Amino acid sequence: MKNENFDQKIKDRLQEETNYHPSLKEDIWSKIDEELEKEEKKVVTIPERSRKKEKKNGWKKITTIASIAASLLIVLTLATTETGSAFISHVKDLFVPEKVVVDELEGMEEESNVSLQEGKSGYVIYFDKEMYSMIQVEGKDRIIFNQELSDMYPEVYMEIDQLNESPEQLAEKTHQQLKLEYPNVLDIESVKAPIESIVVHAVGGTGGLEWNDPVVRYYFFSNEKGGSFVVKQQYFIEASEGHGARFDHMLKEFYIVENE
Amino acid sequence: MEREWIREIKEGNRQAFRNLYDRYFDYAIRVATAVTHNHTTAADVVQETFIRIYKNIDEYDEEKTFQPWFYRILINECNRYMKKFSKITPMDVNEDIHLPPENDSYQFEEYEDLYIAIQKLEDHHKVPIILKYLNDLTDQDIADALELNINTVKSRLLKGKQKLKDLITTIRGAEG
Repeated sequence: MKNENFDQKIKDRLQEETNYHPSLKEDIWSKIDEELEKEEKKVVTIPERSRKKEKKNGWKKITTIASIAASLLIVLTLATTETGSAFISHVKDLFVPEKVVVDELEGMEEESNVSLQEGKSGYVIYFDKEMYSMIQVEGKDRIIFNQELSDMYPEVYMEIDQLNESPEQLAEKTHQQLKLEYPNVLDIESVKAPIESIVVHAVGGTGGLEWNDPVVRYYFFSNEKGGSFVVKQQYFIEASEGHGARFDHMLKEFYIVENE
Repeated sequence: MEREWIREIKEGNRQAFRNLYDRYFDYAIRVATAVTHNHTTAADVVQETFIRIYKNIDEYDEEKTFQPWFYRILINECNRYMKKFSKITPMDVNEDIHLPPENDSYQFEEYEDLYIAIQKLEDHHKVPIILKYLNDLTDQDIADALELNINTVKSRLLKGKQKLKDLITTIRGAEG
């Protein structure tokens, strides 16, 4: 087989085998259009956080939301006053210990019972303790998957820490560092969800072609005291819509409080 | 024209997005079909790819060529679907096997077996070959899309073709 001839045969064969029905193009477009319409309506009419919670669990959810809203209001009010800080530790008591949240995972709604967990560095967070636990690793809070994964899977965890630098400085520094170690590092980005923050995202291995390429995703946001919270998510490509999405859902339930 | 569409898509212009869809649909569906080897999955992949493109268009750096960014998202979607819904076991190929002598007699069976052989390639050889031969992407575009060094791409294309020839011989041997 001469190369020129062989090249042409590959080309022809691929074309033949990938022919499709002419109606397919419009069918797919209709679905895309429909999906985007749906998304836009959601964005315009209902804020993300309340949208998911309004779907199920009637009065229980309403009372949960009300109590969190009350807690946050008190945090915001007290945090700005001198005398406030003396009372602020009690604010944690105002968070309900458990609640039910409905989140979307891989296009499906998933309902989970989440519990309040107090972190060591001035925050509380909710997550499903049947699936995840919080441990301390080198002085940082780390949320790990309860099920032990075999060696074929890269590490999966979410780590929360607090540092005395601004989110912008930390993001820039981390971005530079990751560029040296990872083949695929996305530009620094500001996001509103799951938490208002600056994001740095990188993919290792082949840079995203293999299912087990490691992914690191950092969120940097102010700790309201001149420093930053640093949240590091570590998972792998195939787990992006599983663990990755669950970690993001946890961050929607992250609240800054004052340490006692 | 494409740059203009992208600027308009960033402003939420759905017609501009439709124009982009018209330009890239054929490439996308063919690549997805060849990579996933499944027409239904390919349709889902293409649908999801365009939705992701629309939602993440702000992340696209207009200083760079659009095609590699587009294909990177498409290939990532293909991988995601394949891992989720199917198991594709690449055929082991003995790399030391001697290649068949080159000649001009291209028989019908060889032509038929060619697509089977492409499907049996491992992904890191298969994907560059599909991008090159289905869409005429340059080696540099493939390197950008797959975030690889251009020399790695050249080497994978060369090796991929060698393996294809190997596989055809193996398949024909098995067919008797």
